[in-house]
Amino acid sequence: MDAEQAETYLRLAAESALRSADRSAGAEAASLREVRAMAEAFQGVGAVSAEVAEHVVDGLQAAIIVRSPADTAPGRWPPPAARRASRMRPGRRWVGGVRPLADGGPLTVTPVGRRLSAGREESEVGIYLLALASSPRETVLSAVIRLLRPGQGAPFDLDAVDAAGRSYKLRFTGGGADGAWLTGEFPVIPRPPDGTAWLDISYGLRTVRVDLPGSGGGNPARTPPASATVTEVSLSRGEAYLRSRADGWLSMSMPEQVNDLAAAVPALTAIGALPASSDLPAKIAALARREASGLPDHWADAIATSDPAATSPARRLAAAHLSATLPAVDGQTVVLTGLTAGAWSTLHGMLLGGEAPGDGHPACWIRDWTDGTAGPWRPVSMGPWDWGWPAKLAGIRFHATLSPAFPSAAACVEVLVTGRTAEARAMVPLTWWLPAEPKLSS
Amino acid sequence: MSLPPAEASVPCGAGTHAVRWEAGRLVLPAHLDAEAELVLAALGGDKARCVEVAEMWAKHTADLDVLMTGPRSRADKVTVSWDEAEEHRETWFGLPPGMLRAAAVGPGGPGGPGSGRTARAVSTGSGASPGPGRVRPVAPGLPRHLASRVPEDLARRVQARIEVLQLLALGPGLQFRLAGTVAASWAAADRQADRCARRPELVAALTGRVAPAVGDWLGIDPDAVTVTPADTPAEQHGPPGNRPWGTLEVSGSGGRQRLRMSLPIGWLSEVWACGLAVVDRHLVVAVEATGWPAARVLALPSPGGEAVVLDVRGTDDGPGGLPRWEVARGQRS
Repeated sequence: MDAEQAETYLRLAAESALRSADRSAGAEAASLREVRAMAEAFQGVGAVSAEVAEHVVDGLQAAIIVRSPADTAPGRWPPPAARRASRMRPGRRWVGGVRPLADGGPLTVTPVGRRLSAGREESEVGIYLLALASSPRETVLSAVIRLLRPGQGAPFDLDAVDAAGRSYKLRFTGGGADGAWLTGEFPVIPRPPDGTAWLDISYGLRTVRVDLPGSGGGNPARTPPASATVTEVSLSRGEAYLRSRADGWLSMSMPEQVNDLAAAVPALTAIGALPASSDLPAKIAALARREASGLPDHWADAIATSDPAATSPARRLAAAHLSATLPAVDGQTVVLTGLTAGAWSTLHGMLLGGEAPGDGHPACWIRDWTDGTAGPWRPVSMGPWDWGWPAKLAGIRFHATLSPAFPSAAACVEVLVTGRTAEARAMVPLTWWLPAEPKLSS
Repeated sequence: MSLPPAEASVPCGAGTHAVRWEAGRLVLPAHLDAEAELVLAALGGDKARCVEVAEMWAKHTADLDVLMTGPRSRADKVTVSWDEAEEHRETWFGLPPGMLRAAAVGPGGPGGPGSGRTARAVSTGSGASPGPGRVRPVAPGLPRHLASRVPEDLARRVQARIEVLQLLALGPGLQFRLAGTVAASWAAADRQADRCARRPELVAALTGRVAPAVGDWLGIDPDAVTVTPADTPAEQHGPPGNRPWGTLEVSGSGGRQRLRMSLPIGWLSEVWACGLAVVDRHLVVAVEATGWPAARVLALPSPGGEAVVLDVRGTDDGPGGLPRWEVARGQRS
């Protein structure tokens, strides 16, 4: 690929967009989106730098603004900083802010499956400890918190003590959307020294004992690694970009963004980044038309489940032991640490390795197997736009809302991780426990 | 450049002053010692709006963003006022409209004494509102509490974009002249390496301006026109008339017609910026002798034809702030 050729193509596309005789706000916005999609695609395949891509798009934006009627020009398009914000989903709140997963070392994930409650189960705050993830740098407990009343805020801090009498603080970091539940983690501060057998974790007057990995304790047993298969894929840069971005947008339940990818296809072909023989442009076009025929199952399911009418009715909430480490894809590893089903189905996990996903990270999909039948693939949004992602972290924790709701009768989950260079699949058995449905006071 | 001087009115001090473009330079007739005023401003004094405009232009005399944002043809109307440019600063920083104005308003009201309000308006002749003439040197346009949260490179890029918009607020006559001056700086014989490094931008600048001219000339879809810079060796740079003008090739027919051209970057300053692109159904490809109101040009009567020398004469009453040119009497075919 010739960088000069790509930049020239992009700039001439911007000139063509600017020449558009139609000065209506909608047409201009569409022209700008099209050029922006090309710029992102060229940047994504390494044909132009981020600086060039941004310069062309911002320059076109400025040029359109000074040619627009004064009453519609200002503030019509999101500025650079607002573009990322526009990708955020509304309706979520966050307690405690984003905290990156610390770098380094092997990570173990151990199911916990314990409940802490400060009072009567039906009326008090309940804290459900799902799994404990431990690396040489930090120890984190994934958790679901059932609230006493919708909107109830922090603190949900816990205290812990180990066999040697050392004290620890566990401060909740997480968020929620439906008012009744929060999901997140409790980092254990400081990290317990190696060899620590267990922690007695207290919330008010209630205490539960949690065994730490490597301690030899009996409760609970380590879940064996998920059985997984990895399939390498060989794609051109353009194909890898298109597939990765389509996966990304669909996994964030934003299929409308695929339309922009369709606009980038001719441009990628023109600069030689996409072979004419590729069948991917037809699939992208089908996605843009919301036609499931001929699409991979997870794309077809994503189109179906992005339809609000396809959302399942709310059901009783349940939490499952789920701990699995998927094989690395594109240098990044998906680790699953917990699952809730029912009214607010969420998947807890971590994405480790690599840098912040400026040009996309592997996409993750999950489906249930219930009574021997596979349910629909559900996209797993691993960020960064849900919660923000500072650059160059070792990884993040995520709590992805699953839609449609996950059935609590599922015997196992199938997980699919798709990247630019490979796909990984794993079947992971589930063990459920069903906390009581809360009585919410408004 | 074959252009008469042009002026824009700028509210300055208690009155309105002219900012004049003349022979490739921006001059301030009302501020004979602008440099001394700049020194005084640096020492804490007020900076006159005229001086601020000249200072801004000095930073952008070779800025290709002036070409990227500015007009492509007479029909391409670029209308922006100083105030609108400031409003776009808010947009680019993702701030609510009016926030910067509110943040900068002091007890004296908008632009009043002690307000810290930056420059408000440069009259463009297109309805820009007049503002106070004296401005305080509020640097990047953001209040301090906001500026500290914006990455420096973003602030710098936004500031540069705002400045380009504010220069374009000087009105259509100066827009073409300033864009032509930028192009002239890139056409210099000793900037061949720079032209190579920025070739995509120059291709876009040329194509974006030749395409509408060719559309007027031949009726070809402007999207079917591509123009590349015809960079000539330094030894061939010489006085007008001795330079090769470039190439033109038309392929296809009907709606599938395509035109490829190569032209020196100097075409932008010597031909396009002077309103000479198409004169009496000829595509002007070079200027043999610059001048005002008379000039001599090299022009193509048709895509396959030989370039002919034409004496042309301009009158200062053309649309878009540019002269109206026609072939001098006695030369009409």
